[in-house]
Amino acid sequence: MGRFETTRWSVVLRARGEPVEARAALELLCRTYRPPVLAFVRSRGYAIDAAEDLTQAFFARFLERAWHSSADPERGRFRSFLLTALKRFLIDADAEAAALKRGGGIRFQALDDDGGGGDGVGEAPDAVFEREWAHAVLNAAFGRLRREAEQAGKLELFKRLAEFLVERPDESEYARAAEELHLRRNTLAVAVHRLRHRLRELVREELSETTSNRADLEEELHTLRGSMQALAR
Amino acid sequence: MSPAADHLLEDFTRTRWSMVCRLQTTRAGDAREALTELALRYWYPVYAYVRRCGHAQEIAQDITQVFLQQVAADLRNHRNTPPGRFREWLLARLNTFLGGEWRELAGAEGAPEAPPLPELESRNRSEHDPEESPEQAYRRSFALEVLSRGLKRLRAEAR
Repeated sequence: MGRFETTRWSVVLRARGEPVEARAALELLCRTYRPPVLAFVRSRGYAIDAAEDLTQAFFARFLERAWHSSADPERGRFRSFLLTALKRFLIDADAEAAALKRGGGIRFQALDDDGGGGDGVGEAPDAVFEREWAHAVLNAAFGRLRREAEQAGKLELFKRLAEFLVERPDESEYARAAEELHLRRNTLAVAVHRLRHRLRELVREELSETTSNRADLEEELHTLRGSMQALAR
Repeated sequence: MSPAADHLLEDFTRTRWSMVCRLQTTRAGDAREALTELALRYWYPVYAYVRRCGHAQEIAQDITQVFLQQVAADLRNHRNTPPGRFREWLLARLNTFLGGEWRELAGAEGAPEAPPLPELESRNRSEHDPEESPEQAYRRSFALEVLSRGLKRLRAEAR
């Protein structure tokens, strides 16, 4: 069985008529990628409470109505599919809110005037979504790396080495870490490289869970790299 | 092609297995000398590769040191010379080493002394090409290393 036949998104796509089979995989995907959805809704100007409610309602409807069964199994990346579904959902929600407003009831408050929005307000919603998606991918991969370390009883070593994955150390910091861990400096250096290598593998694995073929995976990697560069600026 | 160019080309394309064979010698002094030579020759290509992977100077220097030490130890215990070009064999070995299990800690005592960082870095700056992959940096600096040694030898012979 090829690598892509068992990715979560492939399982979901294959189970078109059998939502029960795909439910667990889909729920896991939705949980992992909730933050970019919430950030997108926020960047559209909704207040935090309203954005939370909308996000909740979106996923509930996504799962209930099995929107995934309309995804094209030949060419389907979970990220694009989710974003398209979200945009459609928000158009309906906006219309619904407008109708309620006209009728006197306000369900979702759009926050155009109080400037109280959080991160991402004022940025293009699509860019916010991509950036938060990259964050979610990294978080998921980092979480897996941490669990691997924990299972191997190397959590302390992991925590100390993980610092070097985020920022480039200066020489004194690096020498101090080696001393604290009772390791030779060159042992620490090799471990840092290998940990980073493993993180990259896990990022790739995580991304492949949201795709169903190699071409889509390469495209997702390309997008992720672009978002990471934007993050670093 | 001139005899001089022939000479260079021969050096350029030849694998460095002769040095590896000396590493496998039973005489400790010879093996140590071969290790030092191996480390000196291939230090920069390996360092360039590791730097292009995005590591800070000190980390790249330390990784290179452990790697070359391990390669030397492996070769010493290996009676048969692996097939193919030494350059490609070393690169494949480097990738295996770098992709190893992070929880198994690999370090080395008594590793060959590293060339000074300012020297490595001045070369790294002058040869820096942001578009270059780690593999390209390795192959290019490996070729330059061999060429410059060939030139040195020619000059020495011409004297």
